[in-house]
Amino acid sequence: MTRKSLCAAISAALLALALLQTMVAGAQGIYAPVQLKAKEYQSLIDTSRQLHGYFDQRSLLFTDPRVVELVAGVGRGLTPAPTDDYMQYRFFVLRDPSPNAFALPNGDIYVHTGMLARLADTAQLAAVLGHELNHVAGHHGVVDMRANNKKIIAGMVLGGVLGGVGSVIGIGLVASMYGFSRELEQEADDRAVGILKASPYDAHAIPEIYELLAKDYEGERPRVSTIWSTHPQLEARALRTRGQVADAPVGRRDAEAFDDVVLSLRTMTIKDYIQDDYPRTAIALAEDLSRRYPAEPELLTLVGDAWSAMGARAEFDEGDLSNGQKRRNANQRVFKTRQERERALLQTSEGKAALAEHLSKAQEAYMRTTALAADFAPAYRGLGEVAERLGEPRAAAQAYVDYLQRAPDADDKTVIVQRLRALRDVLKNQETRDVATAR
Amino acid sequence: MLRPLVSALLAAGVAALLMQPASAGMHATKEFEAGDTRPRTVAFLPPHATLIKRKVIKAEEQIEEGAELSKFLAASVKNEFAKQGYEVRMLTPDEVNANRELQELVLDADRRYIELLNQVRLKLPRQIAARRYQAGDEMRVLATKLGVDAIGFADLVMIASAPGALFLSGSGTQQMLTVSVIDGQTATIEAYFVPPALRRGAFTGYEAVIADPAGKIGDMAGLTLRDLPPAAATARAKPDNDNDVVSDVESLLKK
Repeated sequence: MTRKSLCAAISAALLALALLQTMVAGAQGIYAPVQLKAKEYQSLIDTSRQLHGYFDQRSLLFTDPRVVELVAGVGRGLTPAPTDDYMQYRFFVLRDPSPNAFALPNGDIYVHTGMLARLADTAQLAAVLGHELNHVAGHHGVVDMRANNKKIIAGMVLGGVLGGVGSVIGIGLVASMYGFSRELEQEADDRAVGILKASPYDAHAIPEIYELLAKDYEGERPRVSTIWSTHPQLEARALRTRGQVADAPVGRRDAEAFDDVVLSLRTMTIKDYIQDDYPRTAIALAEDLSRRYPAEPELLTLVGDAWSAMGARAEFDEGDLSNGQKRRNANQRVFKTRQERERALLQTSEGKAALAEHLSKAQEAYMRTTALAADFAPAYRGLGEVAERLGEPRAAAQAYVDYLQRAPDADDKTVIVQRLRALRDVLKNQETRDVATAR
Repeated sequence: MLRPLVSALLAAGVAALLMQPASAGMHATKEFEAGDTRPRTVAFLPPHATLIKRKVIKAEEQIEEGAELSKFLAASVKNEFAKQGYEVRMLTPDEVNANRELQELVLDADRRYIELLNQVRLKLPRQIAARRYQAGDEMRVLATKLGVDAIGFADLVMIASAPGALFLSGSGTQQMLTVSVIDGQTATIEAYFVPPALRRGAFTGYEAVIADPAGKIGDMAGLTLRDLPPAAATARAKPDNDNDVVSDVESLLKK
């Protein structure tokens, strides 16, 4: 390659980079009517409508009328007038334990059950919806789509000039398809502050939701910032919005009314976390709830279930984990089954000690439950499971029998009977051995 | 002399690959193969088909078409199991949505299965024989609730080229259908079916899939489930009565 052609290639690359930066940095919402081209309408509006059918088909729509009405009611109180006839604000709840919410270009806004379960009050819900509403009102889907089309073309140009660099940008584009650009997210944050300040809700709830979402109970989310990362760091968003709402008066929270509606959703989500093998998250949510409602046996049993699910895992302070450790934790979940992870932990003395400690905490929670409500069946099932794992077949069998006496038509009766079948064999063998020893 | 020999060896190698043993599509536990854990009745959760249309620059998921293909997938999988003498119940989304309790159980089971499926796809499905993939009590509870021996899952991903992309790349449709049978008692994946690697692609493309979805999916299901053994109603051991078990344990505890 001659010196002249090298200079030309570098100049072309720099020019393309500068062009790309202008396109990426220039993205801003449009809060006036936007006429869509036929292809845009098809890609954004038709797809949004189809997605609703898709969620319904996958049975993901959470239809508890009180919860749906709570979300829709708060949402309706915050929505601006739609600017286009393809836009109509509608609010839905999706049955998914991950803490998330998202907006589609046609105005459909979805909040996950996992998000609602983590929120403390109506003001925090308003903060979430206030943010999502701006993605619709500002036509962020259209803006992002138009910018992405330009970026794809620019990426292809760059790819041709610089080889590998274009493809790296391509990876960023794929990632940003599932969220909005950093600029649009920040714009939604900023405008949510205005919406909440103008509403009866407490605007101080905005930074709180970012603090809630930043909690990484399982230690599996590496904090790696990249040049194309879609969302600003949650901690930074909390800090920024805290400054923006500092002068806002204290507004409505409605914590009790909110709790009244979402309490059963909270317990359902904690069960989901236990079932999906996220026990640390389950412990945090269950203990918080049980502290607030100490007379509720179901919540105390959930605390026990969550500690039991912790098994041989180590407890840790999230801040003490390095990115590498978090990545390793996340990889373990992908490559090893639950049983393999547990077996590996139990080969260490730390793992054995952790299991003993966690089962003891679980047992304590179940015992407290039975002291509070002697006929609350699930606590006996928990006691049976703990005894089984501690190698106490007699105690386990007794607890399972107690469970079935209190819940003869339980959904999991077959499961418990299957365990009793195995325990019966163990007890019979024990009896035979005892007789032989006595002789 | 050497050249014809090399050509003959290559041809033989390709032929051997194309004529993979029938078992290449089925990974199962010994007990399933022997009939001990092979079900007589299976309830399938609503099967899901994902259709991705590959264009020249980008690929787009076709949501509505995917939903339509799911119906054909359900019918094809049911047909293949029924042909082998299984009693099949294919749950529909409407049926699931109409019953809150069932919806909860189905979603729980679905999430658990997705977790396992990702691991099966990452690791060797051969490890199914070693009973590596335990689905847990959710699957047992669901099987009891539905009154069946096993729970089935069918999942299809189809990437089909639009005419432009087909012209440029020459590659038409890539399809990956996975069907799993999870026993209601052991709660492990007892059998897992995938089409052999060489038969996952076709030079057809998006237009051909849309023109004959029933035929294309039917062929795929037939190919994937070609090694499904017949239902084994007699081999499956019947457990003793639940109440008898509880009484036995109660007597043992009194001693």
